[in-house]
Amino acid sequence: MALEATHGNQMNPQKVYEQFEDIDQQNESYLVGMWSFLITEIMFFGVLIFCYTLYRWQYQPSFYAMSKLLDMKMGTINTIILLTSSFTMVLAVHYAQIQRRAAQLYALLFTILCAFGFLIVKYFEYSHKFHVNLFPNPTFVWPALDNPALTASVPEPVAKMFFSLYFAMTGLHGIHVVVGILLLGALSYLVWKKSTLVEDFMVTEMIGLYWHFVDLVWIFLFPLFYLMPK
Amino acid sequence: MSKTLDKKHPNNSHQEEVNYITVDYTMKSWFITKDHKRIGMLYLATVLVFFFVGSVAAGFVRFELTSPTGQILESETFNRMFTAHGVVMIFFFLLIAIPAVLGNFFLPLMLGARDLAFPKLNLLSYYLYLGGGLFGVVALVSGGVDTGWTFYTPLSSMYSNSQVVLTITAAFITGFSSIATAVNFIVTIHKMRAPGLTWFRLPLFVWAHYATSIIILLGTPVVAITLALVAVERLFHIGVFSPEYGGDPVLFQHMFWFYSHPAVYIMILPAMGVVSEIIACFARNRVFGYEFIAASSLAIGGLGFLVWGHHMFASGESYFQAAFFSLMTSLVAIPSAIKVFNWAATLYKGMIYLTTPMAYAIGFLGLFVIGGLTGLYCSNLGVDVHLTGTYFIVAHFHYVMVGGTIMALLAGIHFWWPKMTGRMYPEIWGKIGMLVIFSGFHMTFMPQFILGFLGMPRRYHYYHFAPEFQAYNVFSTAGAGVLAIGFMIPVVYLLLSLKHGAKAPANPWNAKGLEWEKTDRVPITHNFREIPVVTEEAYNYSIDDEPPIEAKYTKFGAVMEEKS
Amino acid sequence: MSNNHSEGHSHVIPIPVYFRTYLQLLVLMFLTVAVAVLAESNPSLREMSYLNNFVAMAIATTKAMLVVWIFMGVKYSSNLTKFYAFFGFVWFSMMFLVYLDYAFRKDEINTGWSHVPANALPRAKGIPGS
Ligand SMILES: [Cu+2]
Repeated sequence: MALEATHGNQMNPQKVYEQFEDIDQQNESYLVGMWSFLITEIMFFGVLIFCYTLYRWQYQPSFYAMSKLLDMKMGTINTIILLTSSFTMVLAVHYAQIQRRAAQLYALLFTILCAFGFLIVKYFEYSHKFHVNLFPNPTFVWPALDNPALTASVPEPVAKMFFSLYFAMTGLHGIHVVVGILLLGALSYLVWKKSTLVEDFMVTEMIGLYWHFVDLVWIFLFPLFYLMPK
Repeated sequence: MSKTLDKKHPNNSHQEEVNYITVDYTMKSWFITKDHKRIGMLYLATVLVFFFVGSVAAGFVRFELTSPTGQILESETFNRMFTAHGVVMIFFFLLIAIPAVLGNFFLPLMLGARDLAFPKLNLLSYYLYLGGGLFGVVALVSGGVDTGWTFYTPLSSMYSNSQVVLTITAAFITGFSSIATAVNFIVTIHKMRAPGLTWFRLPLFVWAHYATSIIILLGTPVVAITLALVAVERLFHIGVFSPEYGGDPVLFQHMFWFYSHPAVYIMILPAMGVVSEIIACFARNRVFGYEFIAASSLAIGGLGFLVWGHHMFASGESYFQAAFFSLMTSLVAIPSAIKVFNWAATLYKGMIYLTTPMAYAIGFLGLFVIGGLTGLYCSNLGVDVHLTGTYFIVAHFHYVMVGGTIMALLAGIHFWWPKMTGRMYPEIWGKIGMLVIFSGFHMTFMPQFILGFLGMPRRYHYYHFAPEFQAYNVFSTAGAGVLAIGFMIPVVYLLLSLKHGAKAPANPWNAKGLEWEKTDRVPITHNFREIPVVTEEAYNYSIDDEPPIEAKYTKFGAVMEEKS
Repeated sequence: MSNNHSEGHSHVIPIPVYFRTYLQLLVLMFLTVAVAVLAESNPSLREMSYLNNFVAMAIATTKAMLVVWIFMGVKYSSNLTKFYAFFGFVWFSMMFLVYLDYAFRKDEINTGWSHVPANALPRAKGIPGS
């Protein structure tokens, strides 16, 4: 049985694993597999987004006041960063497909840089929240130190609920960013070492799909938390 | 065939055949295997260990209940025992058992594939399961949990002083193992079918596993994140369900049952797939209404997601929603009934051979019908207010889950044992074991229906307020003893058959299907010597087919002439 | 290059297509921010700022579609992949059935949303500020 076969063209040597018949079947399997995994990720964040909508529906005026405690500028900067990283990620996939390893590596490194940029901005946001005691544990101080007038009308429990949701959702997203950095880092290392493992562009493509999903989640988190109407 | 292997088996006059077992004997080759068949066997061994752990916990619970004031345990320990029973049996046994053992082993064989689409992911899923299981064991040993397997908030998030976080971590990791298996199955079923194997030629086992995988994909992450939110509430006070923060604990129940009702179908659908295979084979009849059974699997999968509210009729959801979910729950009975009627119709005018797997499959029908019909009582809004939280519910879901899943698992293991191990099991002991399990099962759970109807609440340690319950409880505990003996019987003779069983031919039941007709006696590592081409429908049986192997060969020590 | 492949995912998409999508995403992002700021700062628009919910969500959905369709390459992939790519989003909407419960809670005797008295909660004891 054909343990190894190469793709029809010379430029793109893709190894066909022994359980598959040909490269098309293998590539399609990877894609369907990755997307079915992403379905679980959708449901994963879906629960949180659903809980968010429910509480916001219940406590809309309070949530509106609370959203003013978040920094819209930082949110916007982070959106730009993530969109840019998504763009460099597709470039990495593109260069992987046409076998331009150096360009692929630079695109990947830039993506990682963006991911770190995102985390740094997040760090400033989080540390400010901790600084003014807005983390919903017993140290929570209410009304908020940095805007007592606005938040005086908001009941403390609802404020804690808002920040619970905020930290749960952005925290889970942050964990996904960290996982993405690890994946991208490992991939860049392998590309740099010219490993045969990453000759197949599908590896880059899979990690790309994951990274775009992380971007996708932020696309929804950004308006939900930072752009709240009255 | 390689001669070198003969040295290890000097008694064997024949050349040792190379198959997935004999290809390598080292321990290491088993633990880093990427062969779906070996991974299936690893799963089999592991789920049995967890089944034993869960059974021991159940034994304690049953023993406690023989007296209205308890026997040996503190009430706190009693709570931990029934929680341990629930958590271990559901998260580490029932959800895993059939898909990961029989599904892993037979899906590629039935599809005519050399392996699952992602063998490494398959191995990873096994180790995730093992890791999750170890977390679970650590949680049990270090004090256990007392919240019940449902982890309802705010008991689990604010009041409980037990290993909630560890147990949740265990369930979380095991969930990812399920997801990996589901992804594998979906891709394999979509992309790796043999030439000619169209969707409506697939065995119903494959359809059932497809529906199961979809449910796992859509449901498991929901419960994973919901439980994770309970854990972060305990650890960091991030309380999405906390009434302290104006949250609604009933929301936890919504999210929990969004998965955990469909989880029942994760347990029962693969069982239905197994039973479809066996009934068709031993009735020598094409499954009646094949398309309907296939479609009803998907319908159960879909409808199963729209009924979760029936767990909350009495916990504060609005009446409007309760009425909606009551209706939807009644509707789920339709696809389930379609299956049962079609199995019965398959038996009609068939040539029925009452072998052990068939006996288990028919036992499954009986238990599933009782379990399903009592489920209809519970779906009824008014009746459920009386029955919810009583032993009636306990008996109901044990009839469905134990009666369904375990009977089907045993049926499947007996049916495919010759293919998995190359040995026959003793038919007479098989039937005895089946009868003991079947009667022990009824002895255990029939009294619980009565108990529940009389009003005995579940999860209670003492019932001194109603000492007349004692007789039923004692009877039920006695039944649990019979059940325990019943489960021992197959374990013993199946293990013995590995050494003393007659060598099985490639197709002892004269069954149809790629896994029987196109593989060796025991499949080789890549299953097929050449990829088969399918030209006929599934279950192309006729009552004139050769009968299954004669019972006299299925004894210990029997020697079978090689037919082929 | 494997452009001539009819099946599979070996299409190589030219960079300008990606770049155009990137620009579109940025424009949409600035649009949604601008609408939000405008709705906030302009007193005449403030009354109807609830409309911003729809605007923000519509823009977010459009952005998500762009990412899925172009960046994640669903546009160029097989029907099977397309199915799995959208199945999850569709199924997620099933969860909103829970609103059936909360929308009708107001008709109940006990709505379940009233706050628990603080002294009934274990954490409230001895916590500063609560
Ligand atoms: Cu249910």
